[in-house]
Amino acid sequence: MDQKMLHSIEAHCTQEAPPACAAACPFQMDVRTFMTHIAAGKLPEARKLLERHLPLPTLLSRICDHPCESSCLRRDLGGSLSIHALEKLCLTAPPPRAPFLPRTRKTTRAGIFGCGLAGMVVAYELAQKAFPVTVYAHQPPEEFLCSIFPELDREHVIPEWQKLEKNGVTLVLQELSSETLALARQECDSLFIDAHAAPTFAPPTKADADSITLQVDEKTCCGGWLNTSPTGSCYASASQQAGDGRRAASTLQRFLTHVSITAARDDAQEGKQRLHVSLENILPSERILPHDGIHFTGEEAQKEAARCLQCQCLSCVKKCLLLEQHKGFPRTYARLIYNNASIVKGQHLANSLINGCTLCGQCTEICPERFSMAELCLMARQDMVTRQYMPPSAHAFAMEDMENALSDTCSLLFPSQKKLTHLFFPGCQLGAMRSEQVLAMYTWLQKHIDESQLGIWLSCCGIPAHWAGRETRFRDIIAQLDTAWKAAGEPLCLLACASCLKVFREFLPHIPVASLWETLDTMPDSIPAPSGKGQEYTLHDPCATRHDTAWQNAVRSLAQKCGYRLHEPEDTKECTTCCGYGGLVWNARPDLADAMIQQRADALPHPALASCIMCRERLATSGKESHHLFDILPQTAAYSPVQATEKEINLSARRARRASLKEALVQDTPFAPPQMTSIRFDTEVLETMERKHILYEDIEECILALEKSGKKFQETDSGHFAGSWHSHHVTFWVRYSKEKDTYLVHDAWSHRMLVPGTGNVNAEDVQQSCVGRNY
Amino acid sequence: MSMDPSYTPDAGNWICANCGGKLIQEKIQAHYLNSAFDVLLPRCPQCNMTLIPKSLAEGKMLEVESLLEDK
Repeated sequence: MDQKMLHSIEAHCTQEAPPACAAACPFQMDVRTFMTHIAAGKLPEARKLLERHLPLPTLLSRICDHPCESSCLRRDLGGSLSIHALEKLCLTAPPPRAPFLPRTRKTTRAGIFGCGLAGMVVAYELAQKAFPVTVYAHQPPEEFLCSIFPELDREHVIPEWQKLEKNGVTLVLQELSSETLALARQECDSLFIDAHAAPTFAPPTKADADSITLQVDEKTCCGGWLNTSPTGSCYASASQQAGDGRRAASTLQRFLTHVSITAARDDAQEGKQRLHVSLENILPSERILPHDGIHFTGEEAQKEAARCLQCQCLSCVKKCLLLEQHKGFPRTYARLIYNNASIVKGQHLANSLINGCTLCGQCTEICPERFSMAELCLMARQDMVTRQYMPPSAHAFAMEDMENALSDTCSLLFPSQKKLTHLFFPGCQLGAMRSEQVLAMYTWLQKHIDESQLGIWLSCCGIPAHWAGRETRFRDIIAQLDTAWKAAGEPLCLLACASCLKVFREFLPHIPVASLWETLDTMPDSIPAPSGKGQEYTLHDPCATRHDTAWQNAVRSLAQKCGYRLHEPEDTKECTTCCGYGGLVWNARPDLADAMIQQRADALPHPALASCIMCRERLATSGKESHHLFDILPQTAAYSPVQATEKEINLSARRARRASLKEALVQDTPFAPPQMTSIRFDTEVLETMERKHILYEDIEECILALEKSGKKFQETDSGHFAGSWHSHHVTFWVRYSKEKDTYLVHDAWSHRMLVPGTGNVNAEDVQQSCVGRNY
Repeated sequence: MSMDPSYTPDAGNWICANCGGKLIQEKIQAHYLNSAFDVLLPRCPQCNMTLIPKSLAEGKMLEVESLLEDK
């Protein structure tokens, strides 16, 4: 990602864009913070803020025609905030003490020709920057301004003018004629012509000047034109005249300091409202009126300011736990991810953010600008893998699990050596957790689709490698799938996993695919009679089916045909929420994944019905009563290995069951769940193992090695043994006792750090391990 | 990065089941991702065996592993 790309990605998030009030203000007044100060009763703070944003704050606060109020989003929800009245109230607070900043007077001089409000603002802005300024006017500024703005008195204007004079502004009172203009051009390095105070010398309309710079020629800017109302009358808009003044001052300053007139101007975007704000669920709140109709009391002001909506977008952040946890928003995350890839030394601070994204795409659906955290995080993961700084532990276990599903022990395309028309592809997790139901469905499909033409394909689509950013391995798997499909006679694939279906459609688009659910839904004899008795379910759509309406509709149709009453959760279909399995968050950040599914489970009022086995597994793990679609379909309902509130089959058993499923198919025998007889576990140990991704086979391997070598420790009081075994870059520890022919496991733990004298590791292995960075 | 220098077994009286000898706290160098740390751990020097207590593996060691992984 380069800077240009970063900027284009950042531009899709509007959270840092000014809210409607600030966008409408020529000075981008920070109304949100201003209101926060007032609501907290901090008038001096509010005044300080006002003085920082507005030129000639004591004048402008009195005469501003407040375009901010007409764009306030409270407008139709109780009435716009009284921003102008609150600004006026601030003037009652003591002015902030200006720090003494000795500044070297600049040598280039600016001239102001005609001194209306715009001209005076230009003088104010340039004097603040230490430029000497000469103002040519035909009458004293206070007289002109008071004649235009009745809200102003001489005692308001004169102190402001005196401050300007102290700051190097000189007044030349003389007739505004062509000769005076020629003199001004001669004496000053650049010039501002006030179109209100010296209309004869300015172009007739604003359209005649450059819209961004207000230049009329290289050295001259114009501003301060009168506005025309819809009925044709002319009037002076204080905000627009002062706005012209600031814009022109910026141009003149750039000209006087010989920098680009146009580059990176903050005011180029002025008036464009980009921040998206949802007004959903915001209750109206009536405008607070001053007790005397004019002046707010402090209490009234606080109440009025508290009505401010503090406009923000954060639509995606409110829905996604990851985005919320990292205390930022997509725009700041893009910058963090960019910096993460750019650092040369030090910690990669965004690794956990990048690996915490489920890549589910919910944020993109919610975002009015379609910002995609998934694209950003996936790109970052691919870069981390290529440049070898992906944390080894982030996806290692998930990759091992994927390789297990792809191994000869578990994968199968059956019957082989046959040209098939249909191929049932249940997916690696459904085959592992619901092996009995997969077999039952396959048997039923055989009877209803020509038996000799239907096959079953036990494999993995490779999505874990894609999610892990391991693109080379993913492309290998895709190529292998393509070869196997061609060898099977290029059949139609019936998929029962939403992620597999998405992978096939995106990366193997030439393979004809359909979801198993659509196929069943269109078969007239698939649901002969409803089995449910009107029980209620809240549907949970898998995130991979976000844009797959055919899948969504088929699931709903099948469940209804089965006799169940369905309810939609708040976030459903294209806005559905990920269970935390997506993007391998369950592996990289298990705590976050658990919080995600807990939040989802809490948002489903009835027992949940999922059409993805991983969604069902994660819902069940959170304690939520949930079913997979297989649990209600007549073909498979009787073969479920778990009950509604039971967790799914654990990680170790899944691997063994994949192998058993293959065996049952090849040998045409009933499915036999694998048993482990020689080792027994304390219940809590199984939970620890599941959490730490320690498998039965790791423990078995460890105990067998310890028993063979005798290299173990013993606790003398309990007689327990402890020892370790190193495998797959992890050192596994087990504390166990021996009872006749079985071993009872009391505890298990693991670490990735290599320590000589643990497992089968010695000092030489440790030295060698330091050669490579990434495992 | 520094680890506390000495870690003893979590609980109980542990001996080497291979030789029956007592464990002693001995300095050993642990490695991860091109970094090395000297740490005192219970060891049987005769059988060249080191015991990593569970509290260390799931505590400080895990913390250091993840710090190094993000380096």
